[in-house]
Amino acid sequence: MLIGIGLPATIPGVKGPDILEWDRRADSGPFSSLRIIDRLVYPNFEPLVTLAAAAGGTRRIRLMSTILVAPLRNTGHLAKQAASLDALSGGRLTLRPGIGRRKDAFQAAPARFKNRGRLFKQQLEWMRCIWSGQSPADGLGTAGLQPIRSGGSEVLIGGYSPTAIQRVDVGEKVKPLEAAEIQPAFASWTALPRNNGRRMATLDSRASSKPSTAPFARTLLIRPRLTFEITIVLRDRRRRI
Amino acid sequence: MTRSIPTSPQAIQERILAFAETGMDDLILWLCVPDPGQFERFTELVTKSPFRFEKSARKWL
Repeated sequence: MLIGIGLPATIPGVKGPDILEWDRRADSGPFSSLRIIDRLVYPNFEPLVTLAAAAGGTRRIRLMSTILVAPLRNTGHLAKQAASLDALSGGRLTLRPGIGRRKDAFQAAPARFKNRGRLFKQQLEWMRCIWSGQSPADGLGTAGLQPIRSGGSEVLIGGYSPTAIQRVDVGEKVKPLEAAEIQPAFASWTALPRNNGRRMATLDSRASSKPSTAPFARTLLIRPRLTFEITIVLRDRRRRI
Repeated sequence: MTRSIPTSPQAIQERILAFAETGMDDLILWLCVPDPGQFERFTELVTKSPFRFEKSARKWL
């Protein structure tokens, strides 16, 4: 099991140097990845910018967005930012895009809240197209960097619902495709393992019953990566925290 | 939610082991307090724990 650690970038009052120190410690510790949360209407650090800073101060650890709300962002810019971050970090980026559920973020962006699921699917197609070096539209040049690995950075898509699982199929129209990089993942805050077993079973059954319309879909859904998140506080008996 | 947050090394270790036993590939831990002392204690806990973990970030490349 891989153990990742969250960046304290959403904790009010945290300073930039504290986060950079956190990056350094995590890179030299037993952790496989650094994660960051995406919020817009909140006093937190922007995820891609923060991960870019982390890329400069680390050598080994993977850099992950723990749900990056894609429909809040311009697709071309997002694709290019992710490709740049992946290149700067030596291929250590894992992008976990999601549709988002906070209306206030869409008001603040501004972006359309309605139909964001459909937009998200289009964004995944568009980004994959850019990352694979193809022109995203007729008559345009390519917009991406030369990816570290074919098809661009690793992408995880979270969710339990059939709709979320179907989103891994977005690459069907984009060739060539490294779709094995897109995997469904779980994300939850404080859920306990006993609840998780049922959810995993649900996902497994949906995955196995899903029509295999594309070779990559079979590859993907036979073994979804299972990811979970828990929040902890280590109490120090010597002092209050 | 606050009550469900594990706070002792034993509780955290049990929670991690429980997730490992479910076949989890990837577990992300969020420390609520951005204090270097918290980080050090947690690193020590993970390093000394009986469960096996994989440090290599290159595994997925």
